[in-house]
Order: sequence, then structure tokens, then C-alpha cells
Amino acid sequence: MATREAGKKMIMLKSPDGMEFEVEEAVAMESQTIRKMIEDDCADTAILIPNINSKILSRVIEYCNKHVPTTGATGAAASDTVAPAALAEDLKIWDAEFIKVNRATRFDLIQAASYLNIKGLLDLTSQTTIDTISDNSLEEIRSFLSTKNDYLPEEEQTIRRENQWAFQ
Amino acid sequence: MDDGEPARDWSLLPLDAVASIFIRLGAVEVLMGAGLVCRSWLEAAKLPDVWRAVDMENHEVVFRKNRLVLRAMAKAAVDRSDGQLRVFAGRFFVTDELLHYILERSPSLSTLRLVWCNVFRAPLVNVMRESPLLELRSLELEISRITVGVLSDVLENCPRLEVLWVRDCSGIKDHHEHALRAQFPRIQTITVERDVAFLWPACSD
Repeated sequence: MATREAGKKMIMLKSPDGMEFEVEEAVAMESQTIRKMIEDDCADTAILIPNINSKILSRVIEYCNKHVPTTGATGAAASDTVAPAALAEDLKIWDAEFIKVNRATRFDLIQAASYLNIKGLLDLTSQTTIDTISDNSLEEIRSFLSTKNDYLPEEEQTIRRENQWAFQ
Repeated sequence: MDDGEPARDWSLLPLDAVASIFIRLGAVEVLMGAGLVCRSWLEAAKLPDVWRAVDMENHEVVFRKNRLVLRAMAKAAVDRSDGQLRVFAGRFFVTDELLHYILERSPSLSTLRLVWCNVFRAPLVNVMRESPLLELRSLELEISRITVGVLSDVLENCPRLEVLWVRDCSGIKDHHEHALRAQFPRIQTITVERDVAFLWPACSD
């Protein structure tokens, strides 16, 4: 954002496909994983984020940017004019738009939220996923999630015996 | 919605992410299928964190399945919680035998909600005298058959209870609210509601 104050500490995040993202430290610290690296002094100027490609990383940064608590002079001014409930409502609407993605992207976002330990994003992505799963049979869930039944025949037998209610 | 992106195999999702999905999905859905999808999801479904809150009150499965089966499911949920169960809500399938099973294995139980149940007979209350529900903070009973005498025996054995909410229970009348407040000043909120003239239906197993 152009209006960000000068003098805020910036940090560089690098994706494995070679893209670099300059992000405010406070935004990056929405990720508990990155926060720990910064607090433990494991991060100098740039942090390589393995496993998360630039497309997903840029979306994660977008999420953190929106969700970072507004503090300091500009933040206080912003929350003086907008009621907290309106801010929360605005965030809810923004989240609902943000998560309108295809299933593959949602998978990548959940994985990223888990790896980077961003609770809000994990909550949002998991909540959206339950709609895919709820009220569906085992086979339907497998098909939606492109997951195969990977049990050995004897394991399958045990599972059927121990969870009879799911197969009646 | 899947616009040409290669499909992801969701069995490769990290366990904590699967657990996060399961917590929101709820006990019944996880037991009925989601927790059995594949090996890794089964592993996630066995994490005690997933079973801290077991709500078996309003899911359609609760109205469709046999009570014996529902009790077996509730016991499986309690077993998987590995002592971590905090919240349990159940309907007509809950018996004293199941309640005993839950209480015995859930030292951290803080919220108990029972709807349309016929529970807390003498043997269970005796068990509670031996081992009071030390962590229980909230007890909700709705459309359940209980006398005020039994209810106060139960409350005697919930030393940290903060909220008692009783609704449409045949034995608890409006004037009992005041009496219970006087008897248990330590319980911050006691509410007795009787919204309907309720005829107690036959409820036996």
C-alpha cells in the first residue's frame, strides 16, 4: 500500500520459484512460523518459504495484509472513524470473496496456512472445506477430494468392524 | 470451479490441517465418513484434539440411527478424546450407563447438555458422590425427566458449576428456580424455563 509509513521494518519473503515479496514485518508476523524465525533471529533480510509457490504466497500475503491489526498513529485514526463491528463485518465480506477459489487453490492455501501457522487463514480455509464434505458418503468424499481408498484389505476389514455405523 | 488446475490429493494434507477441518465438521460427520477416507485422515481422526467437543444433539444422523448405535458412536468419540473431552451434548439416546462412561473418562468435562433424556438415577448419583464433576461449569437439561431432589443431589456434586439451565423438565417448576438459587448461591446463573405445557412422552429404552 502506498500510504504505508516510511520507517516501518520491511522483510523479504522468497518463494522457491524465485519470486521475492517485500512485506512489512508486522504483516509477515501474522505467520507464527515467520514470527518465531524473526524472534529467534533466524531471519536476516530474506526468508525462503519452501513448498509455497509465488501464486499462493502472494495470496497468503494479501490475506495477512488485510488481517494485520491496525496499530500506531494511522491505525488509531482508522479505527476512530469506523466502528469495530463494521470493521469485523468488512473483514467477513472480504474473507468470503478471498476464499472464492477452486478446490486445488484451496488445498494449497490450507497447506500454506498450516505450514506458516496462520490461524485465521487455517480457520477460513477449513470452514470452507467442510461444505464439501458434510452430508456426503465416504465414496462421495473420496471423489470430491481426489483421494483413494489406500487401506489394505485386512485394514479395510478392521475399519468396517470398528466403525460399523458408517457402513450400515 | 476447477479450471484446469491439476487435482490435489487431499490425503496429503498435513495432519493439523485435517484436524482443523474435523473440529469444524463435528463428531458425527467425522465418525460417519470423513474420518475414514484414507489412512492419513484416519490418523488425524484419532487425534484427541478433534474430540474436545462432541455435539450429538441435532445432527440428522441422531434422529435416523438406532440408539444402541448412537451410544457406540458416543463411546468411540469419548475413547478418542483420550480424557480431553470438554463439551458433550446429546439427545434421547443418552442413558445413565453412557453418562457414567463419559464422566469416568472425562475429568476435564466443562459443559454438559442433555435433551430429552432420562438420566441421573440413584446409582449414577452415587458414583458422582464418589467422584464429583470437578470441572463442570455449565449444565443444561432440556425436556428431561428429573425431580428437584435429584437435581440438587447432582448439583451438590458439581462444586464449580457456574451456569445451570433447565428448560421444560417435568419435575422442575418455576418456583424451584428461587429455591435452587437459595440452596446454591455459588452457582452464578440459574435459569428455569417452562415455555410449553409439556406432556412427558414415554421415554424408555
